[in-house]
Amino acid sequence: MLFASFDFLLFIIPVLLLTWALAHVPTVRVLVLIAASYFFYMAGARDPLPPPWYYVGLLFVSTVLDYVCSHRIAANRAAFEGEDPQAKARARRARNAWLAVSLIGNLGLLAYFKYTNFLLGAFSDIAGALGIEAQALHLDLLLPIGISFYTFQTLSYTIDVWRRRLTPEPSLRRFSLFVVFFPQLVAGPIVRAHEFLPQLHRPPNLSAANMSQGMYRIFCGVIKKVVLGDWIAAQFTDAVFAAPDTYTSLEILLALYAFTLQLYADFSGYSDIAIGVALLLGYQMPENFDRPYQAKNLGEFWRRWHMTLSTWLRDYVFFPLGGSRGSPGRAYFNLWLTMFLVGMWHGASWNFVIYSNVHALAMLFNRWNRGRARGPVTVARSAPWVVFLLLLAGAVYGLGTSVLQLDGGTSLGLAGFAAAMFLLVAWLPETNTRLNAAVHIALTFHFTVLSRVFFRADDLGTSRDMIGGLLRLDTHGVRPGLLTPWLWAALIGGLAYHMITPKRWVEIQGYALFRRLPGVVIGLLFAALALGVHLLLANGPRPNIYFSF
Amino acid sequence: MNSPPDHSDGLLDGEERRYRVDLRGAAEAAGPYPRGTFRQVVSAMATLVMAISATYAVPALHWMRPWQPGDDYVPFWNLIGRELLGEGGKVAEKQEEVAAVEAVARAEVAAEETAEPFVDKVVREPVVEGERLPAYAGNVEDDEPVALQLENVETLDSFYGALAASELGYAGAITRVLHYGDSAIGNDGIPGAIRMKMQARFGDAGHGFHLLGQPNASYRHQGVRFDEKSAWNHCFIIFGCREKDGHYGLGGTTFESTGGAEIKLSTATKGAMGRKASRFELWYAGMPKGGNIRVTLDDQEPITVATAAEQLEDRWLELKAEDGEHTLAVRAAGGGKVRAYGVVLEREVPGVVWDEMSQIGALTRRMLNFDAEHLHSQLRRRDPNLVVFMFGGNDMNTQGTMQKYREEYTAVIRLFRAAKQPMACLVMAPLDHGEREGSRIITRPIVTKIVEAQRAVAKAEGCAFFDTYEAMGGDGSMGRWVRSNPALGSGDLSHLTHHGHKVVGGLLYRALVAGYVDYRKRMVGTPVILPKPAAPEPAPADPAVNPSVNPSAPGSATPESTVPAAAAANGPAATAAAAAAAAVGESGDSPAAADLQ
Repeated sequence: MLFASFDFLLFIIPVLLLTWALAHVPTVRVLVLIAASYFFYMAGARDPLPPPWYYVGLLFVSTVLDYVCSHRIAANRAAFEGEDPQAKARARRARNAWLAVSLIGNLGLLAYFKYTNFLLGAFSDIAGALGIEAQALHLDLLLPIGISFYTFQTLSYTIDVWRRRLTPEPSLRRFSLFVVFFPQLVAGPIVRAHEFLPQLHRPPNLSAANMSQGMYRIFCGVIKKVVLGDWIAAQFTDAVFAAPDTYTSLEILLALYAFTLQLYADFSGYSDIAIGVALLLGYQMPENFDRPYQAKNLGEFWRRWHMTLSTWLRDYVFFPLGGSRGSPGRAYFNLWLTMFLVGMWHGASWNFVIYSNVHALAMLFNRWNRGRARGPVTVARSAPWVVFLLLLAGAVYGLGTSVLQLDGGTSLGLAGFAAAMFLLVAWLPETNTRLNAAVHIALTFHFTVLSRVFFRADDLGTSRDMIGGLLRLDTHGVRPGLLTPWLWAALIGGLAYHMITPKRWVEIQGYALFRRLPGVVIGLLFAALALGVHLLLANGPRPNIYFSF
Repeated sequence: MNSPPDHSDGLLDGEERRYRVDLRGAAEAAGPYPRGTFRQVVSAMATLVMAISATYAVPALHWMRPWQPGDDYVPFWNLIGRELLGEGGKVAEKQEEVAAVEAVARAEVAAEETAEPFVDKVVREPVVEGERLPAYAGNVEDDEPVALQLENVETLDSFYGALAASELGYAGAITRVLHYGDSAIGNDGIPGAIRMKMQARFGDAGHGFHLLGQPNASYRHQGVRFDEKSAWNHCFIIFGCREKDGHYGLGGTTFESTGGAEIKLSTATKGAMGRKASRFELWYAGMPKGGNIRVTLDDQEPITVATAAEQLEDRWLELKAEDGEHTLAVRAAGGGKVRAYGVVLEREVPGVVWDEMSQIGALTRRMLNFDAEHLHSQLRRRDPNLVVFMFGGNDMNTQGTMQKYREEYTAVIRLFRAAKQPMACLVMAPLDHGEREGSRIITRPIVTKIVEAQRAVAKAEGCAFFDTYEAMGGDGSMGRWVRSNPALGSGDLSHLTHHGHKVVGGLLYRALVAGYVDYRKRMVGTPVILPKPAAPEPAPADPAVNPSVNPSAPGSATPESTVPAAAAANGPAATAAAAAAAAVGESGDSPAAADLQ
């Protein structure tokens, strides 16, 4: 079910009324929310296609698997913490075995549905590159909606129990609700067990302030998702990404800017709606975005973008590997692997391999650049820079010619550009002036814009066409009628809102105005918004982009 | 909840946070909530529900209703079922149609992505007098279903005859098609899709005609690489900017420069189409005080062509090379203003050439801006076996009567067909055009009227007719195509997406081939249609402008003069000259353009 749809309206009003009425009967309330969540997961109007019935089974299996594993892990805790070394060793083995069952079960399902076909195809591609003929097997797999999200969610629970930071949830009902809670089931935010499960032990936090805040978040979220997300996609970006070789360089560049805005608006809008609905139900969910395009460097960007995913991988991959402790080489490896997994979580294709590595290597550079000692330029200090620049240019040239299949001249230009950007970012100090901050923000923003080619393109061929089109640098401008004045207004307004407007205008002052409105006025505002959505998206609401991850 | 993150740190800069949470203990039940907790939200909900209910209670507000019976979209349809509303059968049928089309779209795009270069046919000796059409051997494609047949298909016999010769692989059997239309065929979407299929089956005789520049950003051809080093000034027929002489060239756009403008056209390096060429033909104008055009094929010595003439006239420069990858550069070389129209890239092998001649934004009647003699000269030179017209999209937004529209369309067809006889013609109805009615997308009422008008004109003028609107699914089809996955219709409800082009191209191809198969079965034993003979030797060439050019060795570019006026009607020049010469084409008088408006 999609949030910005008539279905959801028909669904959420009875669910809210019922759960409010059952606030004093926690057992029944939890059961109602579980049933509602499964209904939400399975019901579909048209797009996306409704999931097959076995998806419910997968969700149920994931729930039961982690519930059982966590209890078996916890059952060995006393022995593990005891004095008897043999009992301790046995308990350690048992705990590790049950953790492995959970990891293999959850990650195995995720890997099977999400990565099998890519790995089979990659094997064939690599064999082909080595001159070995290998026919790739292709399995007819449909990715279960939300599997990337609920898998990480349940894993966080099992791992925390194993780490002894969390006792297992005694109630299968409450644990089931933690797994399938519908506001965040299909596209996050990824909720940690230690943040959400305690809320299920307490009465739902239903207050007038939370009601207002919830409605406000939903209102803002729908505007972001529909106007800046769905509408921009339908009007512009989808057409360009479908056939980039039929668009000019400037049109492709504008499509990248538009997609950058669309992606943020789509996902953060969805997160806003999810957080708002959860508030109406009496629960707090973590924030997922913090004006990411205002980041001054890539490390800050990933701390502001899809925060629940990036912090999940930080807490369950980066820190367990040792984090920044140990040798610099080890720290860089941990950093690269974590960021590589952040990228690959999004999708299984060569595009995402490139996207992951581009961001991972850029993070390594960011870490090194921010920590290095700056000093006067000398010949001795310059030598390694020259060597590195040549290596960088060579690598980019190789990427251009062999992977992107650009001609030599264009690849050389791309390599030169990469080297120039590297030098610029490396040279530019981080001072506290506004101009300096603006330059850093602009550079980071454009890095994310350009890397989005690999994020959005359907396949490597499309990426090649887009990059080739960009680097063609033709002078044909934008064809009349491609971007209407309303579309320009949405693009410019959306980016300006994100970049320039202070957060307090929306989060404090805007909210303060909203919460003072009488309920009837809010109802009329929602009715007007619903009408606007209805007219703007006459070809139906679109699934959230992250549904496909 | 977690404390807000520290803005000064990157994602992986901080230290790990540790916590311990104990989940033992039963859930607490809620106590009474303070008065007013739900007041604002419940009154907001009630208001919203009443507002939506009002749209159902008040008939005038029907356009605001979020859902109406009969919509494609049904809330919770998979769990509650359309059957409860009695609409299961009809909507399921439509969904199946769309699902079938979606599958076709995906298959077409997948096939395009993995397409290998075409395999050339084995060339037979040229057709001799009295040679008979053999029995039709059949083709694996013949079993594929045909969504919609052509109407008046018998009018395409001359085209099918040429196609038969191409399929049988007779030397010189090139079947040429000119496909004119508005933005529906822009970006070479539909024509490119048809070209791919036609050439896969009947042979790849080259890309065809390409304008000398891009009159608009929607002019992009598949199967050819185009690079505009320096832009030419262009004049597009719909603006009537050549009102004085009506010379817009075969493609409907003229390109002029006093010097420096340059384009490069190259064979494609990927995909199945356009990988080779062996004949290039520059289409340009001779005119008073005309300057020079410099033409360079690959790294050959450039050829400079003088365009000065006593009066405005059509001219052509033909270059031949070994069949393979080539690049042709055309540059305005100063000495006065030059005017040119485009370049033809072909191969001298049996096959099909399908020229995309999109006129973005054009009303049908804009084709009457052509000077008749000039257009006829251009058409006779190109010598098409079929001319396809796909207009109507922009006509839907104009004022006027359907009778007047029929007259205009008739005039356009007659203008084109007067160039040579016979010239088979095919009218493709416009795409379905949608408009929004509440949450629904319905067909604009004018669409069916335009389609019927075009059907009547096609029948009266002896053209075949393909009802594109019906082939898409008829009433409401654009709405279904827009909502399909992948999307086949674009958000403006008037054009198709990349996938949609493939589908419509495939639909027309199937219809054309179905008619062809009938033709072959019907015409067994009848004489094979002879390809046009080579043009006779031209008169001695004018003194070369660039006397340094030597007769080329075999296998390299051979500059050839254009044919003299008498031979122009017989097709492309075929003779070689010792050096580049100023070509003499048909004289181009400039009578007033026929004005039927």
